[in-house]
Amino acid sequence: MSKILGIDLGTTNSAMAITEGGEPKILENNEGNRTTASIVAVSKSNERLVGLLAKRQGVVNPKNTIFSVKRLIGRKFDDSEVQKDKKWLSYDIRKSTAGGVEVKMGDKWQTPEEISAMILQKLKLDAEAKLGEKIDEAVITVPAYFDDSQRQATKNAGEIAGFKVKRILNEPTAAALAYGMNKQKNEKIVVYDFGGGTFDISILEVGDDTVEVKATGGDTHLGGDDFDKRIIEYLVSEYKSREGVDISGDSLAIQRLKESAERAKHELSTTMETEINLPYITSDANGPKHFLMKLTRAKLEDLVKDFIEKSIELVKEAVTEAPPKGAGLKISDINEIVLVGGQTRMPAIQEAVKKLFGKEAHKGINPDEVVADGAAVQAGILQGDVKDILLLDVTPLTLSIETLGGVATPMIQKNTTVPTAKTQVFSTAADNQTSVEIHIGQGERPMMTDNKTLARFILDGIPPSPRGVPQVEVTFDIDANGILSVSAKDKASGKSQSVKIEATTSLNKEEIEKLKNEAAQHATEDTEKRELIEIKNQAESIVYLAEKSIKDAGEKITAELKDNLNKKIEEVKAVKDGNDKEAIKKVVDELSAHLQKIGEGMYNKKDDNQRTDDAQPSNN
Amino acid sequence: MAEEQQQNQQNNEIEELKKKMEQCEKTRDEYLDGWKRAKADLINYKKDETQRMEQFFKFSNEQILSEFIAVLDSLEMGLKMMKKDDMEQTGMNIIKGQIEDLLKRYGLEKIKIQAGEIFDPKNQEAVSEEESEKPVNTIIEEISAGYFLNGKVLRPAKIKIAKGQPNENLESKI
Repeated sequence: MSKILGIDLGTTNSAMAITEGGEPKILENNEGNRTTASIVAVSKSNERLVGLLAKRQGVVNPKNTIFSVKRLIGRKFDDSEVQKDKKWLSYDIRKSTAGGVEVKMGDKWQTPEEISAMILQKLKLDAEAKLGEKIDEAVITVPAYFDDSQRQATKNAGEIAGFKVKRILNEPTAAALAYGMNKQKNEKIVVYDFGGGTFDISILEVGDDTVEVKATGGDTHLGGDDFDKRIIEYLVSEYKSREGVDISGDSLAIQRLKESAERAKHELSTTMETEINLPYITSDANGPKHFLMKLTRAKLEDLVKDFIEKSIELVKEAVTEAPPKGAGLKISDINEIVLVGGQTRMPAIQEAVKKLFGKEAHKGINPDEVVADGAAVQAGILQGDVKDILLLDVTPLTLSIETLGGVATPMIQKNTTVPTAKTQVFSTAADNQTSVEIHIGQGERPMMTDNKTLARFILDGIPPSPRGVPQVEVTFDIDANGILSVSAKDKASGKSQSVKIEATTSLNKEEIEKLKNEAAQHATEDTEKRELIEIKNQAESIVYLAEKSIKDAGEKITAELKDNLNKKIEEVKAVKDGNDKEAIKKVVDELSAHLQKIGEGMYNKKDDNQRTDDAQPSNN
Repeated sequence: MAEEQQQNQQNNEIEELKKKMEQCEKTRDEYLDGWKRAKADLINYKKDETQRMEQFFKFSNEQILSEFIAVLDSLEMGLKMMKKDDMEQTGMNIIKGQIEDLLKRYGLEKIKIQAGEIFDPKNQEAVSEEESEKPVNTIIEEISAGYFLNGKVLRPAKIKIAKGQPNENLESKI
């Protein structure tokens, strides 16, 4: 079955997403962008352009570049909103025979549906190219305040574009769906949507399997673009007062300033201060002039204070006013707040919303993409993807096995999705060791004694061999119910042992938190402890290796080297059981350096022999 | 009578077993479908991930390069302001060339623009227009350079175009 495309058909930008593996995923358009400008144009060379390409020629072709058509779709020409928009739209609009709106693009008059269809068609083609399959069905979002006529017109646009429109979904409902709020029965949700050109508020109530829109509000002519304009105005006037030069008439300077202002606005969401640095912005009789100005977050907040205050007033109104103007609720009745639209990244907006409701808003999902994500979730529900998704558990804590020196060696890391299995081969720590103890623990601490023991068992019957030779294969397997099976098998003898531990994922919340907190508290001391054990283990190994090497090398190395090595071995032995990490490390390194000389010594001896051989006269 | 009763009982049992089997088959199909979907999702995810990684390697420098070209713009503007045939200007030009060469090695390529060409919004952005003797919609001047990063438009070239009514040749294209 082919996928259903979720589409956020926005006033300024549109986005699309599909559901894959139960999760919504934004699809990039052909230009490689996650959003597509909702602009259509007929260029001066009579080519139809959609999206970014249309935007790139908008300045020189304003009459034939159609933007914000969403403001007109499904409305009557005499509608006061249409009359208001007519004054500032750069293209021509007229009354259609049916009383609706027609837009002039090129030499043709077209309906807003047809224009929107061109945007939708681009999205369709780009999605098909991206996925390599045909897409025939779509879920398209509309503002909650859209009436039947606007919804029908949007649906028509989808059909003209070649989609079977499975659902027209409210934008705030989509945002709530993206956050999985449709499952939170009887909750009241406020969706605060500050887009590029519009500000929408919706109050939703989740019932049994339905999300009802209780009230809507906002300002259709307030958006992030107003913030940008305010910043540019401020920068131009500041520059004028400081340098005495008015750059407002210089289109190139304004263009550069606009880009920098937008970047500064974005930067100030994460930093407290930014610098706008534009060398050679203009020039006068005295030569070139540069633009260098600092903008602080506080200044930015001051510049747009009235916009934020207005938005908060509008939220209050939509929540508390009696129906039909508002939802007739108290501010304290609201359970959840969702932020939508790029402008909500601004910390001052998040603060203002938090102050009003006394709680944090949901903002984990990219606010530019949350509506398209929600449309894809709805698409997933319609195509059965989401319903069938199994809820898979994760292991809340790391599962480890104890290795030499009491170290907890992780086998399955915390937060691994189950069912899963992991196999690792271990060996013995001593010569002729015929049994190993498998000690299984749970927790984040590096030393096994600090973690919770789940089980222990012994695997014996390992044929006597030098340390490090036997191969014991240990497997941890957790099934979907959190039951952990641990088995250990000696590869040489084929002997094996296993144990089953019930419900490793069902630790209670407090227990998990306690173990995690302990791990965090002891992090530094634990690391030190672990490093000490590691260096001790290293000391143990190197002593073993050195002794073995001396024995193996026999007469091939000089007596002097042998003495030196034995001396170093004794030095390591003397400190290895202490707790001075640095001291152990120092002697281990020294021994290691000496150990390399065994090899060198052996090669040298061999070389000497070789030379002797070569020196023999040849019979040829 | 007893036989009939036994027969009925058997029939009932068969019916019940049939129902049970149907239920089991349905559940089996559901599980099999879910399993297949999960496997397919994993395979698709792996494919996507490989593609994503390829893209990541190709475009990992995108952010820094797109900010860096603003510095190049400033350098270019500075050079224009300097006196011609000045040794300092020559030196600065060499430095600019050095930077451009370096960026080229990272996949950055200047979008070539020539006055007189027809405006192409695929890699150009028209920021202003001017009355000119040149045919409408042709490029008069490049205002700031555009760049490709590994073939993708990182920033379109900003240009000034000739103003006027569409000429007939262009119209007949459609």
